[in-house]
Amino acid sequence: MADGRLRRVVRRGPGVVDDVVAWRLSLLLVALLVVTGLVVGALPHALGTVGGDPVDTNDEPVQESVEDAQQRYQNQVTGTALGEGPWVLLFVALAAGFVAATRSPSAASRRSVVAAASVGVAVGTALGYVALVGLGHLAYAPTENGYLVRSGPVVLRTWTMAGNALGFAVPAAVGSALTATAGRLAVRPGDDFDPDHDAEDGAEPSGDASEGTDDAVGGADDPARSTADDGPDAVSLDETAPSGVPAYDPEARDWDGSAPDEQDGKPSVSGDDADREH
Amino acid sequence: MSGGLEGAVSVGPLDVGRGTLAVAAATVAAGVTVALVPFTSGLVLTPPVETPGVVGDVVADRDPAARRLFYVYVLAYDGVESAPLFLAAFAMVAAAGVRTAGGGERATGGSGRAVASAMIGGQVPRPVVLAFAAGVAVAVGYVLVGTVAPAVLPPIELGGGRTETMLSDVGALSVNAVVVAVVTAVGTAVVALAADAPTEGES
Repeated sequence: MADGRLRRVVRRGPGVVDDVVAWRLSLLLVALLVVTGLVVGALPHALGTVGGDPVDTNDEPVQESVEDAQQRYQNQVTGTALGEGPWVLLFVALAAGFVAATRSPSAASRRSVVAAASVGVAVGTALGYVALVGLGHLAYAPTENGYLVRSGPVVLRTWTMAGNALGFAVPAAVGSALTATAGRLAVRPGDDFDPDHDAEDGAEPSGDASEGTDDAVGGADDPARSTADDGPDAVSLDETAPSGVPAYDPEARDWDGSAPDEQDGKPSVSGDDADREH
Repeated sequence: MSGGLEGAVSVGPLDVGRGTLAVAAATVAAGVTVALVPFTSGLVLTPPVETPGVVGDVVADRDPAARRLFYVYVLAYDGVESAPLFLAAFAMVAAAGVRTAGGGERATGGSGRAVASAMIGGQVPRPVVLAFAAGVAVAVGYVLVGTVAPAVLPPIELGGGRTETMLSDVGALSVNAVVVAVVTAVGTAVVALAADAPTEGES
């Protein structure tokens, strides 16, 4: 675990991590929100084509043909999709920004993650809104009883839609910045939420490694946070370090000369240490 | 993590600070955002699709400012109406996200342990604390949504000399907030337990 962690830190500096995280996070959010907009916009078409109104609460049922009932239901779903769709988009954006912030590498700065989430959500919400309205409004059609649409044609006001998209993107960006900031609260410096990478490195879960050492947030006593200092954890991690990286030195474990090598309050008695004791 | 189901509902030292705070803060932020939408975007938004009967005859023939205000009202009403559903869903998604990030233990461990342990003896399962925080946050967010827009929106003329003002029903809002909080807390607890389940194999 320790070897892999040090190699990762050596391999990618903070700036590189920020850039990679920012691009990936932004693109991921844009893609997610565009897909969300398309899915919500496609729902009225799908439900109107193969579905039907599952609930009848009409006291005085309107006499209508099967086709007209289907179109009335499609108009109903379209109205709901266009009315609630932006809210769905907004909450997906906020939740995605939050979750993405908790999953971003801890090496990335909070500012870059929050900015990336905000930009990604702004662009994604605008495009998703256009996709939602542009696709969704096509499901409207006049019905015999004039439900929602009395007569054609349905007019899409393109410039209004574009303005709305931009206008809606602003609060979405602000909100996602807030939720992403909140999400970063859950990430401690030194944690790396990359279980696959940990597995490749033969790492044990970092949660176990940091257990019992997390009271001092950002402190230097956690091995997971000590990659930037010259303390014993950072120095003693790598036996096959590349040039420029401190190599493993068993004697360095007592680097400050003040305490024996201890873990969980118990002296280590394995390996050479155990031999010396006996 | 102590492992197993016992670890999932850890009754040991409370270790929920960061994740719980993050979920609660994000949920309240979501509520604030919903409350902001009618003002930040609603003031420039107008219905993008013209279909006779959707906007209604009442405002269809009026000036753009009236149509815009009508749309702000629609947005505000939609926000208040849908906030319980979306905020509850948001809290649960956030809880799942933060619980499963790195196995939950890392994501939720932190500085809240000392305070929470001192307050409740460290005997409350972590999902319960997370659920409680999510419920409170949803209630706060919902109350924000239900009070901000009605308090700020100007009266709207609906034609025929009729004027309507959006008012908050504080009693209904309070009861709704409690109900939504309880339902959200139950859902969040279930999600948190489910999110912890895969970590059983780690022990």
